[in-house]
Amino acid sequence: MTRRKLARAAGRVSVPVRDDIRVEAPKRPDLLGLPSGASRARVFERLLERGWQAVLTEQRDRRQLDLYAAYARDPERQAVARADQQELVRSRVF
Amino acid sequence: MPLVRGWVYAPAQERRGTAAFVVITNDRWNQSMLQVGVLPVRMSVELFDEPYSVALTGGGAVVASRLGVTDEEAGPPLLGSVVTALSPSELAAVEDRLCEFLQILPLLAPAPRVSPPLGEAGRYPVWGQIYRAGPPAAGERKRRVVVSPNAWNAISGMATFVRTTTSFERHGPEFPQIQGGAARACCGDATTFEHERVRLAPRDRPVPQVVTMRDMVAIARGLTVTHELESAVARGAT
Repeated sequence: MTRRKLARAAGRVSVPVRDDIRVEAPKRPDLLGLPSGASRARVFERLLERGWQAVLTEQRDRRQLDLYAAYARDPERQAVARADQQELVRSRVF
Repeated sequence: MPLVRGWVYAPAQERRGTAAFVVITNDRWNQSMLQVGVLPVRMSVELFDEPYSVALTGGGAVVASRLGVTDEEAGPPLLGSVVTALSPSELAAVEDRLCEFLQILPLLAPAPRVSPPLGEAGRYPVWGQIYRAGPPAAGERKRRVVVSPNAWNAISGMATFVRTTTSFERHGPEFPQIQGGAARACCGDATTFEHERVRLAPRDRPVPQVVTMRDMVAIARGLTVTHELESAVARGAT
Protein backbone atom coordinates (compact mmCIF):
# COMPACT_ATOMS: atom_id res chain seq x y z
CA MET A 1 0.00 0.00 0.00
CA THR A 2 1.19 3.56 -0.63
CA ARG A 3 1.62 5.88 2.31
CA ARG A 4 -1.39 7.93 1.20
CA LYS A 5 -3.62 4.85 1.09
CA LEU A 6 -2.41 3.79 4.53
CA ALA A 7 -3.34 7.19 5.96
CA ARG A 8 -6.89 6.88 4.67
CA ALA A 9 -7.48 3.19 5.31
CA ALA A 10 -8.97 2.29 8.69
CA GLY A 11 -8.94 -1.06 10.37
CA ARG A 12 -10.25 -1.98 13.78
CA VAL A 13 -8.37 -2.90 16.93
CA SER A 14 -9.60 -4.45 20.13
CA VAL A 15 -7.67 -3.23 23.16
CA PRO A 16 -8.24 -2.94 26.91
CA VAL A 17 -9.12 0.61 27.92
CA ARG A 18 -8.81 1.99 31.42
CA ASP A 19 -12.25 2.29 33.07
CA ASP A 20 -12.15 6.05 33.64
CA ILE A 21 -11.25 6.74 29.99
CA ARG A 22 -13.78 4.24 28.67
CA VAL A 23 -16.56 5.87 30.71
CA GLU A 24 -15.63 9.55 30.62
CA ALA A 25 -14.24 10.13 27.11
CA PRO A 26 -17.55 9.46 25.26
CA LYS A 27 -19.23 12.01 27.56
CA ARG A 28 -16.90 14.81 26.38
CA PRO A 29 -16.58 14.71 22.59
CA ASP A 30 -16.16 18.50 22.67
CA LEU A 31 -12.71 18.06 24.24
CA LEU A 32 -11.68 16.22 21.10
CA GLY A 33 -13.19 18.69 18.68
CA LEU A 34 -16.19 16.51 17.94
CA PRO A 35 -19.87 17.50 18.00
CA SER A 36 -22.08 16.42 20.89
CA GLY A 37 -23.65 13.10 20.14
CA ALA A 38 -20.57 11.79 18.36
CA SER A 39 -20.45 8.00 18.45
CA ARG A 40 -18.25 6.10 20.89
CA ALA A 41 -16.31 4.72 17.95
CA ARG A 42 -15.63 8.21 16.62
CA VAL A 43 -14.57 9.42 20.06
CA PHE A 44 -12.06 6.62 20.55
CA GLU A 45 -10.81 6.95 16.99
CA ARG A 46 -10.10 10.64 17.59
CA LEU A 47 -8.53 9.88 20.97
CA LEU A 48 -6.13 7.43 19.36
CA GLU A 49 -5.19 9.90 16.62
CA ARG A 50 -4.54 12.62 19.18
CA GLY A 51 -2.50 10.25 21.31
CA TRP A 52 -0.28 9.22 18.40
CA GLN A 53 0.20 12.85 17.40
CA ALA A 54 1.22 13.62 20.99
CA VAL A 55 3.79 10.82 20.90
CA LEU A 56 5.25 12.14 17.63
CA THR A 57 5.31 15.68 18.98
CA GLU A 58 7.05 14.56 22.16
CA GLN A 59 9.66 12.72 20.11
CA ARG A 60 10.20 15.76 17.91
CA ASP A 61 10.50 18.03 20.92
CA ARG A 62 13.11 15.77 22.58
CA ARG A 63 15.17 15.67 19.39
CA GLN A 64 14.97 19.40 18.92
CA LEU A 65 15.79 20.28 22.53
CA ASP A 66 18.84 18.03 22.45
CA LEU A 67 20.06 19.36 19.10
CA TYR A 68 19.45 22.99 19.95
CA ALA A 69 21.17 22.69 23.32
CA ALA A 70 24.25 21.37 21.53
CA TYR A 71 24.13 24.30 19.12
CA ALA A 72 23.79 26.75 22.02
CA ARG A 73 27.14 25.45 23.30
CA ASP A 74 28.88 25.75 19.89
CA PRO A 75 31.85 28.15 20.27
CA GLU A 76 31.62 29.48 16.72
CA ARG A 77 27.92 30.27 17.17
CA GLN A 78 28.67 32.14 20.40
CA ALA A 79 31.35 34.27 18.73
CA VAL A 80 29.13 35.07 15.75
CA ALA A 81 26.17 35.85 18.03
CA ARG A 82 28.22 38.43 19.96
CA ALA A 83 29.30 40.22 16.78
CA ASP A 84 25.88 40.00 15.10
CA GLN A 85 24.12 41.30 18.20
CA GLN A 86 26.20 44.46 18.30
CA GLU A 87 25.61 44.94 14.59
CA LEU A 88 21.86 44.42 14.93
CA VAL A 89 21.51 46.99 17.70
CA ARG A 90 23.48 49.52 15.61
CA SER A 91 22.00 48.89 12.13
CA ARG A 92 18.98 50.45 10.40
CA VAL A 93 17.38 47.03 9.75
CA PHE A 94 15.35 47.63 12.90
CA MET B 1 12.49 33.30 31.35
CA PRO B 2 12.47 31.92 27.79
CA LEU B 3 11.18 34.16 25.02
CA VAL B 4 7.92 32.92 23.49
CA ARG B 5 6.93 32.65 19.85
CA GLY B 6 4.15 35.02 18.87
CA TRP B 7 4.69 37.33 21.83
CA VAL B 8 5.36 41.02 21.28
CA TYR B 9 8.21 42.68 23.21
CA ALA B 10 9.00 46.36 23.64
CA PRO B 11 12.50 47.44 22.56
CA ALA B 12 15.03 47.48 25.38
CA GLN B 13 15.99 51.01 24.26
CA GLU B 14 13.89 53.42 22.23
CA ARG B 15 14.45 52.84 18.52
CA ARG B 16 13.53 55.09 15.63
CA GLY B 17 11.35 53.08 13.26
CA THR B 18 10.67 49.98 15.39
CA ALA B 19 7.96 50.06 18.03
CA ALA B 20 8.23 46.43 19.17
CA PHE B 21 9.52 42.97 18.26
CA VAL B 22 7.72 39.67 17.63
CA VAL B 23 9.52 36.39 18.35
CA ILE B 24 9.09 34.00 15.40
CA THR B 25 11.40 31.00 15.96
CA ASN B 26 9.91 27.78 17.38
CA ASP B 27 9.66 27.50 21.15
CA ARG B 28 12.02 24.54 21.50
CA TRP B 29 14.65 26.77 19.87
CA ASN B 30 13.70 29.69 22.11
CA GLN B 31 13.78 27.48 25.19
CA SER B 32 17.22 26.07 24.45
CA MET B 33 19.04 29.33 23.87
CA LEU B 34 18.44 33.03 24.27
CA GLN B 35 19.20 33.52 20.56
CA VAL B 36 15.81 33.89 18.89
CA GLY B 37 14.47 35.00 15.54
CA VAL B 38 12.50 38.25 15.62
CA LEU B 39 10.48 40.48 13.31
CA PRO B 40 9.96 44.21 13.91
CA VAL B 41 6.66 45.96 14.48
CA ARG B 42 6.84 49.32 12.71
CA MET B 43 4.41 52.22 12.75
CA SER B 44 5.21 53.12 9.14
CA VAL B 45 6.21 50.61 6.47
CA GLU B 46 8.49 51.19 3.48
CA LEU B 47 6.97 50.52 0.04
CA PHE B 48 9.28 47.56 -0.58
CA ASP B 49 8.21 45.98 2.74
CA GLU B 50 4.46 46.42 2.20
CA PRO B 51 3.82 43.10 0.41
CA TYR B 52 5.32 41.31 3.40
CA SER B 53 3.70 43.28 6.22
CA VAL B 54 0.72 42.46 8.43
CA ALA B 55 -1.26 45.30 10.00
CA LEU B 56 -2.08 44.76 13.67
CA THR B 57 -5.42 45.67 15.23
CA GLY B 58 -3.55 47.45 18.02
CA GLY B 59 -1.65 49.62 15.54
CA GLY B 60 1.55 49.23 13.56
CA ALA B 61 2.51 46.35 11.29
CA VAL B 62 4.72 43.29 11.62
CA VAL B 63 7.29 43.44 8.81
CA ALA B 64 8.09 39.86 7.82
CA SER B 65 10.79 41.00 5.37
CA ARG B 66 13.14 42.15 8.16
CA LEU B 67 14.05 38.91 9.87
CA GLY B 68 16.70 39.20 12.53
CA VAL B 69 18.22 37.07 15.26
CA THR B 70 18.96 38.46 18.67
CA ASP B 71 21.03 36.85 21.40
CA GLU B 72 20.03 38.59 24.59
CA GLU B 73 23.07 37.29 26.46
CA ALA B 74 25.63 38.09 23.77
CA GLY B 75 25.57 41.86 23.84
CA PRO B 76 23.36 44.88 24.44
CA PRO B 77 19.80 43.53 24.63
CA LEU B 78 17.30 44.26 21.91
CA LEU B 79 14.14 43.05 23.67
CA GLY B 80 12.47 44.60 26.68
CA SER B 81 9.32 43.57 28.51
CA VAL B 82 6.34 41.72 27.08
CA VAL B 83 3.70 44.03 25.60
CA THR B 84 1.11 41.60 24.25
CA ALA B 85 0.75 38.48 22.11
CA LEU B 86 -0.33 38.22 18.49
CA SER B 87 -3.76 36.74 17.98
CA PRO B 88 -3.84 33.36 16.19
CA SER B 89 -5.05 35.01 12.98
CA GLU B 90 -2.35 37.72 13.16
CA LEU B 91 0.35 35.11 13.76
CA ALA B 92 -0.95 33.00 10.87
CA ALA B 93 -0.85 36.03 8.57
CA VAL B 94 2.72 36.82 9.65
CA GLU B 95 3.72 33.21 8.96
CA ASP B 96 2.13 33.40 5.51
CA ARG B 97 4.01 36.62 4.65
CA LEU B 98 7.30 35.20 5.92
CA CYS B 99 6.73 32.10 3.79
CA GLU B 100 6.19 34.32 0.77
CA PHE B 101 9.28 36.40 1.53
CA LEU B 102 11.49 33.31 1.89
CA GLN B 103 9.81 31.76 -1.21
CA ILE B 104 9.17 28.58 0.77
CA LEU B 105 6.20 27.27 -1.26
CA PRO B 106 7.85 27.55 -4.71
CA LEU B 107 10.96 25.85 -3.31
CA LEU B 108 9.02 22.97 -1.75
CA ALA B 109 6.96 22.45 -4.92
CA PRO B 110 7.60 19.29 -6.99
CA ALA B 111 9.53 21.42 -9.51
CA PRO B 112 11.28 24.09 -7.38
CA ARG B 113 11.43 27.55 -8.92
CA VAL B 114 12.27 31.09 -7.82
CA SER B 115 12.38 34.45 -9.56
CA PRO B 116 15.62 35.21 -11.44
CA PRO B 117 18.03 38.08 -10.58
CA LEU B 118 17.06 41.59 -11.71
CA GLY B 119 19.36 44.20 -13.17
CA GLU B 120 23.07 44.22 -12.48
CA ALA B 121 23.62 41.28 -10.14
CA GLY B 122 27.01 42.54 -8.92
CA ARG B 123 25.36 45.51 -7.23
CA TYR B 124 23.31 43.64 -4.66
CA PRO B 125 23.28 40.25 -2.90
CA VAL B 126 21.64 37.67 -5.14
CA TRP B 127 19.36 34.88 -3.93
CA GLY B 128 21.08 31.50 -3.67
CA GLN B 129 24.59 32.95 -3.76
CA ILE B 130 27.21 32.92 -1.01
CA TYR B 131 28.89 36.02 0.34
CA ARG B 132 31.06 36.96 3.26
CA ALA B 133 28.60 39.10 5.20
CA GLY B 134 27.94 40.57 8.61
CA PRO B 135 30.45 41.90 11.12
CA PRO B 136 33.78 40.10 11.60
CA ALA B 137 33.68 37.33 14.19
CA ALA B 138 36.85 35.61 15.39
CA GLY B 139 38.76 37.54 12.75
CA GLU B 140 36.64 36.79 9.68
CA ARG B 141 33.36 37.63 8.04
CA LYS B 142 31.30 34.47 7.88
CA ARG B 143 29.99 32.81 4.74
CA ARG B 144 26.27 33.29 4.36
CA VAL B 145 23.69 32.30 1.76
CA VAL B 146 21.11 34.81 0.55
CA VAL B 147 17.52 33.62 1.14
CA SER B 148 15.58 36.85 0.47
CA PRO B 149 14.04 37.61 -2.97
CA ASN B 150 16.11 39.51 -5.53
CA ALA B 151 13.59 42.31 -6.12
CA TRP B 152 13.62 43.13 -2.41
CA ASN B 153 17.39 42.82 -2.18
CA ALA B 154 17.86 45.20 -5.11
CA ILE B 155 15.54 47.91 -3.79
CA SER B 156 15.79 47.76 0.00
CA GLY B 157 19.53 48.06 0.46
CA MET B 158 19.40 44.93 2.62
CA ALA B 159 19.36 41.15 2.24
CA THR B 160 18.53 38.19 4.48
CA PHE B 161 21.14 35.50 5.00
CA VAL B 162 21.57 32.04 6.49
CA ARG B 163 25.03 31.39 7.90
CA THR B 164 26.97 28.29 6.85
CA THR B 165 29.39 26.41 9.06
CA THR B 166 31.88 23.59 8.83
CA SER B 167 32.30 23.21 12.59
CA PHE B 168 28.83 22.12 13.77
CA GLU B 169 28.16 18.56 12.67
CA ARG B 170 25.01 17.48 14.44
CA HIS B 171 22.20 16.18 12.20
CA GLY B 172 18.80 17.72 11.75
CA PRO B 173 16.63 19.44 9.14
CA GLU B 174 17.47 22.71 10.91
CA PHE B 175 21.14 22.24 9.93
CA PRO B 176 20.97 20.75 6.42
CA GLN B 177 24.14 19.60 4.73
CA ILE B 178 24.94 21.69 1.69
CA GLN B 179 27.75 21.88 -0.84
CA GLY B 180 28.00 18.12 -1.09
CA GLY B 181 28.33 17.75 2.68
CA ALA B 182 31.18 20.24 3.02
CA ALA B 183 29.13 22.59 5.17
CA ARG B 184 25.84 22.95 7.05
CA ALA B 185 23.38 25.83 6.93
CA CYS B 186 22.29 27.24 10.31
CA CYS B 187 18.67 27.98 9.45
CA GLY B 188 17.70 29.26 12.88
CA ASP B 189 20.24 32.05 12.54
CA ALA B 190 18.62 33.68 9.48
CA THR B 191 19.23 37.40 9.81
CA THR B 192 19.28 40.59 7.73
CA PHE B 193 22.20 42.86 6.95
CA GLU B 194 22.56 46.11 5.05
CA HIS B 195 24.50 45.96 1.79
CA GLU B 196 27.37 47.84 3.47
CA ARG B 197 27.96 44.71 5.54
CA VAL B 198 28.21 42.41 2.53
CA ARG B 199 31.39 41.79 0.49
CA LEU B 200 29.97 42.10 -3.04
CA ALA B 201 33.24 42.53 -4.94
CA PRO B 202 34.23 39.47 -7.02
CA ARG B 203 37.65 39.27 -5.34
CA ASP B 204 35.93 38.92 -1.94
CA ARG B 205 33.56 36.14 -2.94
CA PRO B 206 34.16 32.73 -1.38
CA VAL B 207 34.42 29.56 -3.45
CA PRO B 208 31.95 28.22 -4.41
CA GLN B 209 29.87 31.33 -4.97
CA VAL B 210 26.54 29.65 -5.68
CA VAL B 211 24.45 27.13 -3.81
CA THR B 212 22.58 24.44 -5.78
CA MET B 213 18.81 24.38 -6.05
CA ARG B 214 18.82 21.14 -4.07
CA ASP B 215 20.66 22.92 -1.26
CA MET B 216 18.25 25.87 -1.35
CA VAL B 217 15.34 23.44 -1.04
CA ALA B 218 17.03 21.89 2.01
CA ILE B 219 17.50 25.35 3.50
CA ALA B 220 13.83 26.14 2.84
CA ARG B 221 12.87 22.95 4.71
CA GLY B 222 15.17 23.98 7.57
CA LEU B 223 13.65 27.46 7.78
CA THR B 224 10.19 25.87 7.83
CA VAL B 225 11.18 23.96 10.97
CA THR B 226 13.18 26.63 12.81
CA HIS B 227 10.57 29.35 12.20
CA GLU B 228 7.59 26.96 12.59
CA LEU B 229 6.11 27.61 9.14
CA GLU B 230 4.57 24.12 8.71
CA SER B 231 1.04 25.44 9.14
CA ALA B 232 1.67 28.21 6.63
CA VAL B 233 3.00 25.65 4.15
CA ALA B 234 -0.10 23.50 4.68
CA ARG B 235 -2.35 26.55 4.15
CA GLY B 236 -0.49 27.48 0.99
CA ALA B 237 -0.75 23.98 -0.37
CA THR B 238 -4.57 23.88 -0.13
